[in-house]
Amino acid sequence: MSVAGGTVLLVEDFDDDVFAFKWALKKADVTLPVQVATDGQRAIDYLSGFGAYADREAHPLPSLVFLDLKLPYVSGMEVLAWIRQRPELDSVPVVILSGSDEARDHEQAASLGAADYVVKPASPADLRRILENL
Amino acid sequence: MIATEEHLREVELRLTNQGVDLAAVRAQRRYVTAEAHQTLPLILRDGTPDLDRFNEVIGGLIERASDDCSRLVAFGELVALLCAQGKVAAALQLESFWNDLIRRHPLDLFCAYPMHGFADCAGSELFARICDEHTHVVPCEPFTGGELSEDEKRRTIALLQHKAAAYERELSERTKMESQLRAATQALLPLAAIVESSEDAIIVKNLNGIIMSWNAGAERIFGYTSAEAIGRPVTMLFPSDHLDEETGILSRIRKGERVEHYETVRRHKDGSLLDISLTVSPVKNERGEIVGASKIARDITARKRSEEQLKQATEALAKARSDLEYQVRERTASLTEAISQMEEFSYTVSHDLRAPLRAMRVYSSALRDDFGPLFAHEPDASHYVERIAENCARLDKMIADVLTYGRVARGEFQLESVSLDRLVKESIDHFPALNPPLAQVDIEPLGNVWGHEPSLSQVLSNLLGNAVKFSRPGATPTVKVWSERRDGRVRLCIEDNGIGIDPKYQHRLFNIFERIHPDLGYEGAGVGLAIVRKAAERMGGKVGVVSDGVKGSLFWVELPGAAPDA
Repeated sequence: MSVAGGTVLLVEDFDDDVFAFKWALKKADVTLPVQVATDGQRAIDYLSGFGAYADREAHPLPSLVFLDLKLPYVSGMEVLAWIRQRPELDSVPVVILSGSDEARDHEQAASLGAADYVVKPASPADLRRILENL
Repeated sequence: MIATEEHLREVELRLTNQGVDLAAVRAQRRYVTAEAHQTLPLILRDGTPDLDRFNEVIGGLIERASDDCSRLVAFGELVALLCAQGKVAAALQLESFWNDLIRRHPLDLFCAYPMHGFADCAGSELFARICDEHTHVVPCEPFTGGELSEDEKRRTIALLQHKAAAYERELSERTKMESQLRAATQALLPLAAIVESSEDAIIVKNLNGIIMSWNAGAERIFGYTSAEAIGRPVTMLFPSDHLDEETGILSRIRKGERVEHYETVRRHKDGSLLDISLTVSPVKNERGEIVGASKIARDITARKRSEEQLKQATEALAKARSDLEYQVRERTASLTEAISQMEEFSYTVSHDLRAPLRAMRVYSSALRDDFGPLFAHEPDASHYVERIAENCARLDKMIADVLTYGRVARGEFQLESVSLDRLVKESIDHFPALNPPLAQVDIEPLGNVWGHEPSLSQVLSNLLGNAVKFSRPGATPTVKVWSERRDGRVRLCIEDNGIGIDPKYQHRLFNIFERIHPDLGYEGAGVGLAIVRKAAERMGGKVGVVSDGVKGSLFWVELPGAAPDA
């Protein structure tokens, strides 16, 4: 599949990490629109078009999700498990973007169906590779 | 005493001469008499002895003379009277009644026969049969010589022959008994010695509970000498609250039962109480009647005391063990909690503490990249930003090292056979600094060890990294890697041509956060060699260093050897 022209949903609570992600995208010359959900519950609300996110014009369904693991309220792993249980989101790949390089996190993410795993900060090269692979 | 009037008179005269008070012994029923001529008709029916009459008359006499504790001796002349009357068959019949009676009553029977009753030839057979009916036959008439007719001589010779026969018979009987007695005494001697030398108290008492014998063991255990004990009631050994035991013991003994290993309490002469194990058995006389009891008493005071001490010790031990188990459980729980808190802490460090650092690195990069033209005019500003980025990188490396140390020190471990050849090659391939032209690494065949591959990988990358890091300025780092196998263990050696380590600092080398060369501008947090040592120890190995501080260093890691990959 191609994500060209699609929207990227970044699930990230830390402003500076949002900046780092967007800056790396810019350095990688990627100009996809980026939507940000700042906690796990907002990510689920966004993906299910709940409440403020019902307007798909303003909040289009993403073609790719970058998901932090350590999030307020609902953790990244829970969000990942929820996404992978929704048939309508089958075609949306989820890439974990975490500060953790722990083996247990890599293993759990893979077993829950993550498409890739990048340790923060994601470099422009990381992002180019991921977008080319998908 | 059933005798003729004449014989009764003779006997009583002699008893009186020996100082016996006849009136007194009659009153005590210790001397009971019946006149033989008057008694004989009472036991006859139609001139023949009758069993019912015999039992009634003679039984009555025995009843009158019977006494519980003394020996009964009967003297009878009834058979002799029948012999004298020539009633041979009646005499033998009466003799057999007496013998039956003796078997039923504890009775010794003396019979007297005037020899002239056997004088004629017809009496010879009678004499032999009378002798057979008795256990002992003792001739006792004096020989009266004088002028004898031929007939009298013949009769006297016959009489003397009879007497000689009686003597011979008695002699052989006595000889036999004597040898039996000697044999019995011989057999008893060792038994007596055993009884006397026994550690246990061996006491014989009669059915009235009176002590009859008392050995040295009894004296030792109870404190009384045999002179003090014999003749006294055995209950003198009983504490007052145990007196009722004697009735029970005696009643079982009377029934012929044994009392075995009965544990009770007895009292020493000095009043102290003793724990005793008793075995009491009936003692029988030669006729098989129970006349007393033998009692074996063992002093088990010491055993009881040690049993009690053992019980207390066992209880104390059980309590200590349960306390210990409780403590172990508590401590295991608190250790488990501490470890899980530690892991949680590590996780928090890796996520939360590194996040701001990461942001600083990203912003300094963005600053350099996005505002390059501005920095071109401000070389100092450019340098400052560079220093910020470098310090961020260094702090990030330190945090990463500490996390690695924690993983190596506490992580789950599964040992497997690992090929050192493969792992060393992978480590070298991974780091450009270990490859030409930056460095020269020569590797000999290394073999396999038992290890945890990720930890072993950490060990190799740290040691190989150090080997080229602390290089002599201007010289190309050259590293030699080989292994030595000894006693089932493999020692991996990594030797460099670097600056070496002064022996006086070597003992600190493997401690965490130790940096031996901080002034020389070599990078590092002082965690690498601590990781190496911790990893080696957890894999059952050791590490060490050899260096004179001038000509490079040799680091070694020794691990259990494994068979090479198939």
